[in-house]
Amino acid sequence: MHVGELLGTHRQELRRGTVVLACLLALRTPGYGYGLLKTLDAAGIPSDGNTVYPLLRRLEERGLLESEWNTDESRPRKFYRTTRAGSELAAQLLADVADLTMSLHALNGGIDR
Amino acid sequence: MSSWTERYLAVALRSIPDPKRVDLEQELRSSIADAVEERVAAGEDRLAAERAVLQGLGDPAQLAAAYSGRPTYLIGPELFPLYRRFVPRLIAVVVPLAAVVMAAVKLAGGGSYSDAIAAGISGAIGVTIQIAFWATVTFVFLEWADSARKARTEIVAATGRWTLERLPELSAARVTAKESVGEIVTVLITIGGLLFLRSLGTTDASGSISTTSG
Repeated sequence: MHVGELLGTHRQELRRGTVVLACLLALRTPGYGYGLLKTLDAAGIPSDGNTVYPLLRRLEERGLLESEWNTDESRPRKFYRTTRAGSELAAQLLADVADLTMSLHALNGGIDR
Repeated sequence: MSSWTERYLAVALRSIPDPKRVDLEQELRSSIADAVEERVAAGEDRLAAERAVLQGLGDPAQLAAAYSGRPTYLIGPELFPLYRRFVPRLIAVVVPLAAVVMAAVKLAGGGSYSDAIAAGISGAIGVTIQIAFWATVTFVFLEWADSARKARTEIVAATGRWTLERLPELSAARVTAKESVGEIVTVLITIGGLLFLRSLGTTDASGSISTTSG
């Protein structure tokens, strides 16, 4: 395996766990499937539809998102919004990510010296 | 010919239960349309855009599995350790017995020793395949059937929980009697099989086999 390939694999693994967090954070402003993909992309967290679309359903089943059909525009779209429980979970996860990042940097500093 | 999107949706939604399907179909349809429209607005040909979007979504069967939460494997990591332990042990205990019984039946029916060995070997192969097949079918059922979900949890809890005591002793002395009987008989069968295969090559070997095994 080439280094580039390895980087791709590990990067994917790193990001897998953060997609949930990204969705919960982004959907505090209501959004629909494809729009969410664009939002995530613009935020520097590119994600695939085949990951995000099923994820939205699962998060809704767990009560972390709620959804509503919007039929005002020409094409009906299902809008998702992060629930209170989802927001609380997201805040906790975000704090964890921050801690983890700090720990990794500390570890990195320890090696440099 | 129906459109690519229709064909894609048909496969993606095939295994989704009815109440969910209508809603999911509408949502997927609008997500695909959104993506296609954006590409068209950027000047791409509509058909090319549709194809690219669907290609990007990937195998609809995978997508369906992600939606339904069904596994994309036959036996999952929860059951696999049990499967891995159980099937070889079952084979080790049952197959030698079956082989001996079949060989004995052949002998009792007036067959020669080489006939008996042949019956034992073919019986062993047959029983091994049967056990492996039905045990696998059983485990796949436990993994896949919704109704088996509770049973699966109980089975894993009852048999799958690993404890330190499960570590085998380093000395062979602690192997249980059942296991060692199975192992011994298996070895005997293997030896018998080897002798049988050799007897196929030489005409006068059947006599020497009957003295060896008898």
